[in-house]
Amino acid sequence: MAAPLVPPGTPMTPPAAPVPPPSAPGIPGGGHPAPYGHPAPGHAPYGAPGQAPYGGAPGHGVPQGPPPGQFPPQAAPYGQAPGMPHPGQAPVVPQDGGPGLGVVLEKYKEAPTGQRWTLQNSKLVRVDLGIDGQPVLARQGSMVLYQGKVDFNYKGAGLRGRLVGNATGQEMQLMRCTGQGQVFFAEDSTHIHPVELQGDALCVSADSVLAFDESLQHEVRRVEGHGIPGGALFTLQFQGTGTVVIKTHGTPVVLPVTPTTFADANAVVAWSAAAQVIVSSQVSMRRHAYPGHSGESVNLQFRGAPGNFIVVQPYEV
Amino acid sequence: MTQQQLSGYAPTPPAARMENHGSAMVKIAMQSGHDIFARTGSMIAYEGFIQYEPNPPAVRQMASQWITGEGAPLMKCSGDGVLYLADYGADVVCIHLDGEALSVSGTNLLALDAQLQWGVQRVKGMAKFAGQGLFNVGISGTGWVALTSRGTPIVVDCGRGEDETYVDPDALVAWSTNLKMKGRRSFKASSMIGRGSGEAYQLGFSGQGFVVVQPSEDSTDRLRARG
Repeated sequence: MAAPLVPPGTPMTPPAAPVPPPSAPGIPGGGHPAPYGHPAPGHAPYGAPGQAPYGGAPGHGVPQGPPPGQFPPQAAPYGQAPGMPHPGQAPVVPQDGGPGLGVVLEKYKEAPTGQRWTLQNSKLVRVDLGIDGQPVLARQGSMVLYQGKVDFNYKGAGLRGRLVGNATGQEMQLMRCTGQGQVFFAEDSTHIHPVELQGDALCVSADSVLAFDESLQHEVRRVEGHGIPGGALFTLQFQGTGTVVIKTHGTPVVLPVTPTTFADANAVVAWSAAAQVIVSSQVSMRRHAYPGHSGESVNLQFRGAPGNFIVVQPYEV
Repeated sequence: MTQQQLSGYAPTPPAARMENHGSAMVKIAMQSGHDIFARTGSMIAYEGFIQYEPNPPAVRQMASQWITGEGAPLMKCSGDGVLYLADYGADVVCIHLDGEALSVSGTNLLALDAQLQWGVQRVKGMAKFAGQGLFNVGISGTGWVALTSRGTPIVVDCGRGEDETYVDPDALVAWSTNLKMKGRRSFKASSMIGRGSGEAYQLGFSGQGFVVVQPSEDSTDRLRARG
């Protein structure tokens, strides 16, 4: 047996284990025949001379891993090939184990508790209902996992809410989560951003709301302006103390509101309600008459004191 | 033509049997004699000499529960070279099992070493409700497994407290085999009249172990839907 750098009894070898450099012309010793790479009559052996050797030329950096004794029942150790006619040309790949189950999954572990809303990763948020016992409203069907005793109930918007929601397109299908425990929310692997409101207000498009504390008030707000298809734009305004979780398709950009901040009405997700919204439409009588028009007809301009922000997603609904 | 911008995406020399290339692609270093079972249709590229055998007899027998008349969803890949697999941009997680066991939801399994022991079970009680039914592939032994997850997954410890962990079956990716599992319906009469909470059935897990969940409830099998 050749003297591999890793003792044969080692149960696990990290992939980056120091292995001898490639093109070592036959690792010394070793009594194993090399079934792999033998020039078999009838077909060209893989990695035969004249062919571009798979994995690059010798010295390319393919780690020629000695077998760390990982597959004992197998007669032929890979990566050894002492009798190979063309050493260094074999696509030798360590077939040994990598990090185990626990190590691989470690980086996906649940983040520790402590707050009511905790972002677990960029696409998953957890709410701990036990922290102040207050129910949470969430988009229907957005729960992916819960622990504890949690009840999910339909949350109606009321007759007036339904009428307003229907008329403005800003309706949400909500459920009410009550009880004790932790609930994880996610939807369609969209990016998720909890926004904590401390008495201030946030305007969010209803399609982009994932969940919010029941303590927040929300109402439909109208954005005035000419030239908007459909007459006006509507958003939901959240107000009070609590957290709204908004979702975006893709990584959003959060722009500070300056005198010249514009956003596409279809891509803007949320803005701080203190910012004033102005619709700036490029009025052109012939804008739909020729095929080369820019397609950007309605823009929203934001104005406000420093400290206001808008959130824009790279996805136009 | 300058390729400077693209050259950063060149493959790195394989250092392990299964590796991620980016977050959504797995790179498998194939060796003859070490076959791989991969989802049919998941191959996106390969280098070297690799042969594919769709619907191999071994799989047909094992997956007789799983198949729905279209043939088994796994193909056997053998040969030498590098094989790249992906599932429509879903995140890929490569795991090396070292004598451990794992249960994987059928739609989230991308590839596994042929030397692993595996079997297909139908999750009891859920098949009637979860649309196409939920299939669970139990895998054990020593070797590599590649899973897909729509979005970065989360691993939740089940043994915390006496309460059970409930998972939306559409978002479930994998779980430790030793967990006890049971279906739970939170289906009320009110959902018949359009006042449902949207959460009709969950899987409850109890015992010591972990559950892997994806941040998406899109459980449609893209590799199968394509046909």
